[in-house]
Amino acid sequence: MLSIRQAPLFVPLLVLLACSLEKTAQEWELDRTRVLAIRATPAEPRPGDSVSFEALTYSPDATLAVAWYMCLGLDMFSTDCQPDEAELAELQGLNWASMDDEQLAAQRAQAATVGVLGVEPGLPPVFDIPIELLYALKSEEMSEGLSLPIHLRAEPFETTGAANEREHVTKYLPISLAETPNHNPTLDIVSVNGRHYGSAKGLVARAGESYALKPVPLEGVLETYSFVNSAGETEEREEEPEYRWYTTSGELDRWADGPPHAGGSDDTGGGGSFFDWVDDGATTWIAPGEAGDGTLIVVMLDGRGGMGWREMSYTVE
Amino acid sequence: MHLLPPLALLLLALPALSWSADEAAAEELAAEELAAEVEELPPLVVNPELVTFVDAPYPPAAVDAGIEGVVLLLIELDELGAVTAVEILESAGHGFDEAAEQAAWQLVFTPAQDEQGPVPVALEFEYGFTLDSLPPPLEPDTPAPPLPVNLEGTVLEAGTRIPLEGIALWILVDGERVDTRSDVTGHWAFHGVPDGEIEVHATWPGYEELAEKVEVVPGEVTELRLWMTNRDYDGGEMVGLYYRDREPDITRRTISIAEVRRVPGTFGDPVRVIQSLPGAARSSFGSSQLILRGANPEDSNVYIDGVEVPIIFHMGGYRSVINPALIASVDYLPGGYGVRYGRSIGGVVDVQTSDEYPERRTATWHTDVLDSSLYTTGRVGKEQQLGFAAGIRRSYLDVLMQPFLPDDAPTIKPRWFDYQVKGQTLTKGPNDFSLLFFGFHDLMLIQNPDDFSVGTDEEGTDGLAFAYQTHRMVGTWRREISPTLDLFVRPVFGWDDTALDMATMVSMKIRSTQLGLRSELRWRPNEAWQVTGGVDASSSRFDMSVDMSGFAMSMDDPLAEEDDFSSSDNGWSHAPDPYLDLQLRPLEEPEALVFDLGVRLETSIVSGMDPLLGLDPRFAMRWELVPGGTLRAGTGLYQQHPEQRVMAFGGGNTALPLERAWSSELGWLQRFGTAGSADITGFYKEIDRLGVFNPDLQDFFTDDLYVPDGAGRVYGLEMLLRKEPTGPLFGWISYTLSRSLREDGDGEWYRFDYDQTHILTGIAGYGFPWDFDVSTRLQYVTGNPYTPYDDAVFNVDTGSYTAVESAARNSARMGAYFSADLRVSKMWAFKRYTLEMFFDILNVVHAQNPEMIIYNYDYSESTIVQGLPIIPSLGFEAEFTF
Repeated sequence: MLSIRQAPLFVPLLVLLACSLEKTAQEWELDRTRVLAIRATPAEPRPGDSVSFEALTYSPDATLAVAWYMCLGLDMFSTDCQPDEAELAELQGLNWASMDDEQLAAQRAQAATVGVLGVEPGLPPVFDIPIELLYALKSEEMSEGLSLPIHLRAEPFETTGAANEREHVTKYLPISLAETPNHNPTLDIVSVNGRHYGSAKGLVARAGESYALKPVPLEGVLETYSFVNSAGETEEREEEPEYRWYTTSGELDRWADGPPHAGGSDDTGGGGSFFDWVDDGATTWIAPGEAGDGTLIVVMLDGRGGMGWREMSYTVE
Repeated sequence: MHLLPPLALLLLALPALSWSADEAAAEELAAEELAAEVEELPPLVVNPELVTFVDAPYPPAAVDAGIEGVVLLLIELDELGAVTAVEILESAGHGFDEAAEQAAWQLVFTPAQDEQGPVPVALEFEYGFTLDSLPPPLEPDTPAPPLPVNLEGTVLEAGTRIPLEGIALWILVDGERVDTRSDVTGHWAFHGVPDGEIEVHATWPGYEELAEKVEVVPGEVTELRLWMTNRDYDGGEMVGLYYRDREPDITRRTISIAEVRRVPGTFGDPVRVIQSLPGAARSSFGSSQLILRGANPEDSNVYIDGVEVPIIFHMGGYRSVINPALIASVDYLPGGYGVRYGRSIGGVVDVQTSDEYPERRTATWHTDVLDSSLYTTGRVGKEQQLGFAAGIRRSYLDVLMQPFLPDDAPTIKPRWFDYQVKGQTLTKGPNDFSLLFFGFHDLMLIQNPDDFSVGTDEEGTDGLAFAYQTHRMVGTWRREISPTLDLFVRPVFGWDDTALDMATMVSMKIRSTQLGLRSELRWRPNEAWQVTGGVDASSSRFDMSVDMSGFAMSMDDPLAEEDDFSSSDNGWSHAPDPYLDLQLRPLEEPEALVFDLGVRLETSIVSGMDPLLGLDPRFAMRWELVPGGTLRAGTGLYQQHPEQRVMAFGGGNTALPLERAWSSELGWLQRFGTAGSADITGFYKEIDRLGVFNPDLQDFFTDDLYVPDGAGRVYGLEMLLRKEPTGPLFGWISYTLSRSLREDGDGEWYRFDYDQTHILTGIAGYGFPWDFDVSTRLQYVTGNPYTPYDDAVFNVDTGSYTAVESAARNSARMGAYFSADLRVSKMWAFKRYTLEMFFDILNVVHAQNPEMIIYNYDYSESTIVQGLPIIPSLGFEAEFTF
């Protein structure tokens, strides 16, 4: 609760933060090892299901070693656990390509005893949801279920010791008995200056020019689902997407045309307010000043744990 | 004529008159009582000295008769050494009395001083008349008939229009000086002044010498009004505004208003000067939070006339919520205070409003870059038996900022407003009544740019609005029931409102209706001991409502569905808090050794929760071991109700007990006559039962949000070296060496967020002639601690990084803070008003002080945010007298 005595801080803090002009690395810049998204399949499993994971990663010039793990036992829902480094090193040192299915299954079972779900390359991450996971919930809570944190650590095989070379990530896996379980959204089309680009098509851009980008989700990608609110009433809700853009070069500016609001940047009729707006994913990309190749990535989140993404290569001339 | 050596005596002597035995007995008793009362006065450290002696004309009749004589006078001097009253104690007859009295009015003395500074005194003065050196007698002359008055006028003080009594005026007639003086109405007159141009001179200590020419017209009475300029209009405020209570609080530091208004960087606000005193940490840029002796800002209480108020500064921290013109003194108690104050484990700031009302009404207009205010005070009634004061103030940043913001930027409108009205009876008698109304209203509004707004409501349903206001009505009744028994009653009524609106997302409103009563009965049968029983009672009804849309149903799950949330709650909280205090003065010199033992019952009774009770014993002593040197020591328990206790939604947080601190101090105060003082105090404070966030919280609605596992430790040294404002130079050097630690129940001690090892402040000001003032403040402060990060965990669902501490919490420090501020002011006195212009420059040397560290999205890079550069502030204040 806001204390009245903190009120005098309001004005100077607002002024202070607004006045900070130092340039630092921006979130949309792909300049180091990054994990941009994690997709679980199924997106919203039930107890007893087997879930596989896929990570969208980026590394400037190295192959990444990715470790997937989770906390065990009573700490299952903790976000503060670390893998057994010795076990992990041993697992990462195995020659996975030479193993048959039986050997893989045995190694996977062994890894699971220390909380490791997978190591990549080699052992894709899989998690078998315990059948009893939701037993502690009341029956009316089971359709909402709970979320289990899954952890990931990605780093180049050959590390240089740089501070942010290793990326630690947490992904929450929703597990429930929902009648309308979630599905991962798919994103195939991106609009560039109004032209639609499919998944196979790359962009040819001119150096220094601006391009209006916008994801175009297909009909039905955003799902409608049921939710029982605090009043006990069942509501039908539609997913509200969130979009995140990244680029390997150039600049991205989500606010070039002002706050994002529903209806597109050319809609002047009645968009959202400063504090209450719907993300339509529109952004402006300014191509770099030099010729070269690169990648634009847009990640789409459906707000319920589901993720999809689209990578688009570009050539700057 | 020779002057017998003047005698300056401290005691008043009554004239010997032949009265009846009963009257004599009564007179003797009154004299004894008066003598006893005089004995109570602090001793003088500087006696008045005669600077200018004036020869009285030897009465002709006495010359003829060959008579000599000695007139014993009682002369009263004011704080400047000027003669304000002359009384004949022993008459010598023969015209000696009148001559001596006339001359006595023109004597000039240096002011007497006690430990506090210049004081008025009365002294016996023998004026002797001897015939030895009389000039040869003149030829007897037929006495001429007295000439009529043909030149007269009044002499008034410029700017205040106060009639000046006793001013020495003179003219030259045929080369001979003719003197006169003004009477109580300021009127003066000369007889038989030759026609033509004449120059009238007026002179008096403390005033600019005046010489004004006038044309004396034949056959008429020429009138002339003279305006004399006081050399130091603030000089009268530099003394006499100390808190004169007899509390032996260990580290009570009281500052005079004249000093604080001259301190740069305070914008003339007496409350802001606290940050230049020992024990007060430097707050983050612009916030002016009161961080006293290592305590959280919320742990210190602020009062106006003993009435607790939620905040003391307006939004932004530049102005206190009460007009400085109404402030008589500011009591600053960083710790070690008595049982009169409670509900706090930090410090206390008590702003006292003025009980003085000028005989002539004044109105003061003050304007600077932040706000403007109007203040008026005076007396009304047939016999001026009612004093009044009223003031209003309003900021205009909300207007001034707009032209400087880009068109597409959100509109930002901060503004504040405050008002005060006070009335007080000024009749003599055992009862004294006063009524004080005060309040303030602050608002911060951030509105959408027009292009993106929904609707047309300019007051921000689509913006951010944060507002709070406080209003109080305070009655005071003091009654002297008997010479040994005093009663003090102060009822209070008021309310506080806080409102936060963020578009359609959040709407939160809290109203707290306050009822309070502070009452004391003090029994002082003799000088040796005193018992005070009191109550510091407070009751408040709180009503709060919260409406949120899109509120996450779980704290830990980022995928939890958002739902609309509404909650409202109301209830009562009571804190009757009685206390008992015993003061002992065992020595013959009653102020040489004072013991204070008190106990206070801290209470917190909140509807729907178990009451919390705690007993706070406190002890303090003050012992003047050597002249001017005083040892001070104290220890005591301080408790407060945990703020988090009423922050529950649902059933959490009922188990939190009173937070408490055991605080001890030991200090030495050494006065160097009236020149200054040095004060050093060591302190140690142990804190426990602090409410900290529950690390095991799973469910926001059923689990306790907070647990009482936090602890703290604060220790250090405070030093103050002060030059008393007894002349044009004033200032002080303040140094605090301290360490403040916290622990959140996990055994890991860390530095408090505002732990500043060294706080060194130097202030100096000089009052040049003609009311030209220059003052400066230099400050050096150790940088604030911070927790370094160099790694973070990415939550792929929320898209945010959570920093991972690379070292212990608050193990790193930002760079030190240094600033130099300057203030220049000049006052002009016109006939009916005074005008002061001031120029305040903060950060004159343009120091790049680090204020905070901000990190980029993944905590891999950081930026030091620096405070604002040089900040000039220009303003003026005009005071009109009616």
